[in-house]
Amino acid sequence: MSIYLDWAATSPPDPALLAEGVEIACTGYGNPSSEHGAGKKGAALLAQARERCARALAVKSDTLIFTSGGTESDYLPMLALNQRPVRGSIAVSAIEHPAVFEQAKMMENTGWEMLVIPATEEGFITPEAVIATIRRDTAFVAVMAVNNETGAIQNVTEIASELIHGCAGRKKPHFHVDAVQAAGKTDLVLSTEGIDSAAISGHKIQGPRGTGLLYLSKRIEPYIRGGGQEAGQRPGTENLAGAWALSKALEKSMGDMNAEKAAALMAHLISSLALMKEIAIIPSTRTPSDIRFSPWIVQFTNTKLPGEVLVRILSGKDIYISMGSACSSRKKTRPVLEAMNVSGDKQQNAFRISIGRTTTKEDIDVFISALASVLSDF
Amino acid sequence: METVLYLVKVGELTLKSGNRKDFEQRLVQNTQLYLDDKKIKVALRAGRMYVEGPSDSARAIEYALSHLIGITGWARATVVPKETEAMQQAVLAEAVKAQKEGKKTFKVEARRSDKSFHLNSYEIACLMGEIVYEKGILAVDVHHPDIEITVEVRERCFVYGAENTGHRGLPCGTGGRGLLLLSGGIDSPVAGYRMIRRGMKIDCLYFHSHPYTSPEAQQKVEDLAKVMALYGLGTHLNIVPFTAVQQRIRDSAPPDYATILLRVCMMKVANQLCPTIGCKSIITGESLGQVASQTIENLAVTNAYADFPVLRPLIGMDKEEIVATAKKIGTYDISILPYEDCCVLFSPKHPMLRAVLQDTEEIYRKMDIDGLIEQAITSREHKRFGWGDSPDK
Repeated sequence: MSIYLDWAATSPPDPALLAEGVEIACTGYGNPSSEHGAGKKGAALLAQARERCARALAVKSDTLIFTSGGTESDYLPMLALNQRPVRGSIAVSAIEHPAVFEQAKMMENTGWEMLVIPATEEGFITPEAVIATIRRDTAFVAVMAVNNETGAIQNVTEIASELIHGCAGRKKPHFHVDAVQAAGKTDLVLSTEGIDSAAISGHKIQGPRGTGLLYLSKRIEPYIRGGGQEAGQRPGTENLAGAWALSKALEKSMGDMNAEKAAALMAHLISSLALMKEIAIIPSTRTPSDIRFSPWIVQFTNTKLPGEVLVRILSGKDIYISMGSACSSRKKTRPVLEAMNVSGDKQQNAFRISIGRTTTKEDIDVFISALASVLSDF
Repeated sequence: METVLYLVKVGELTLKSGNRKDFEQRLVQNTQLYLDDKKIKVALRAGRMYVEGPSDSARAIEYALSHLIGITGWARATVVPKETEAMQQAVLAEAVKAQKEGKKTFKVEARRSDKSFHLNSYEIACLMGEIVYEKGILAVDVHHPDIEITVEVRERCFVYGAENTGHRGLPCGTGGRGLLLLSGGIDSPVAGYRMIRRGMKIDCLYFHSHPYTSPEAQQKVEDLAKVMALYGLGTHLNIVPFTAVQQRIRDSAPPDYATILLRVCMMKVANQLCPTIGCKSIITGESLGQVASQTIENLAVTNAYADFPVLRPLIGMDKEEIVATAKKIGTYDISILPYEDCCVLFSPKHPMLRAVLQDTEEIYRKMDIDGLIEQAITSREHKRFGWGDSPDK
């Protein structure tokens, strides 16, 4: 049996949810935009799925747009900026996922200026840093809810509020929150005043790949045009199977987050690894039960092996961990750790453990002893 | 059935005298190996190789000729009777083809090895050029023509337009056998190619350091070996696990000597492997001064450990020249895949630039590493690739 400790990259899908989604898609096969009965049925089922997501996230159903995943939910609001008659600046945090960071860089090609909000050495984005970075012409601010590499929970509620107050008397920039590692895993109130959009991904919470949600507190002028589906915000014939399974996955994960169990496992993992002299946690100030961090994600480094090699050795023992973001594992640099001023050697030897609903204490213990033996062998 | 004929210009082997036949024979054999089709006839007469087959074999013949070592150029030729009118029509057809490709100027190059033909080369060129000129298809430019149309009057008459450049050199298999130290980098495959072009058959030796190096790194080397096999008409890849050796170097040698000692250990493996697989030389991709370990002093030290001649065909080439060749032979895109090989592993920040043989020897002895090298050779894995295993085949 393999031990899977890479839930932040993707989670093993819940087969029952996927099967239900497929069944619903076969029943409600009509195009939701069609006028006939089959179409109406499809539209009704899609509406049910949306309603379920809305209940789980405690938002109004008309604020939710089904998308193909986290990346699309991140770029749609950013691309919409290109509909504005004048260009200005976009401020994104230094620890954003490439889905936001790389897209922001691309926006520079369309006339926008990219501003980077610095992180603290612990990997947090403070409201002060956000306010200090933005300018009068800043039209868009992105700060993620939970960092995918360190698990640092960002105070997006306070950032939202500071943006409202800090921009008193002028137009507040659109505030986007990448909530991919937060939804179903940590408390996040999407309907917080000042949060204008948020991205959620289905496959991080045992839903299907290719599904996601974009929360929009109010409609945006879409950049991508087509058949007007999803209230014109995201054209393309709707993926009912995916939307249905996503709604069920969200309902399940929001209903029973298992955060206490995760916190206990994480505390056990961190305190056990603290005893190994070759291992250090990133950031070094994170304590075993630190509520400033997600109990699902933790980043360590070691003194012996490059993270890539450690991942490979453990993989040989059927234990699956990762170096960091799976989406940037082909690159040699670690921008998030760089932003936290982590030294080159520590960056290279860093590795991430991310757990999920089905992770057990035995899994953690097997990993700990395997890690100890690898570190003594090499 | 309609046939196609390719006229191939052989290269350097025409300079041979006594043993020229052997070279020619090898070239024909190599061509036949690529084609592996009895319907395609290969013959070499009077400094020209003729490859003739059914028209549906054109693609296979062109693929073979574009990888064959030992030829300077080749072209698909039209065969016509030795009659001026037929010859003119063929030349006209080539001119029309060239015009469609956007060419504006031409010249006719005539060769007459059949001296019984009633026109001499100059007269042939004039007569053939005249018709193209008169019909106003292309303008004449004898100095810098866009297209050169060649008419060769031999036992038959051959007419062809644009010529493809061959890989030159000597036919593979006429220059002995060498063992190429193949890494995943840009240089070593180019070194292998250059020795193949001198007629050498090559086998490859790769050191992997699993789990420090990834399976993808090994796959990359296998893909490079397949390219070597494509030009060298097959190769054997010897894969030697070197993790324990590298760890011993890391743990027991001064860090600045790590790179040079790794090279020494590689030479030791090559020394033992060569006689067992019939290789009489060791080939490396070293280029003087390219990296710290490739200074003349360090090369002298590694040389001292080699029992066979160490051939370094890239020694005087700069990186740009090496890259250009790598791109031409199709190894560059494989080499730049981001999977590190064992050389990068444990490499010191400041490697020794001027290693001293006595010091190297002393450190080497103290490491007590011969047993680990033996073990590595015993655990050697072996893979054979044919020319047809190439990724772009």
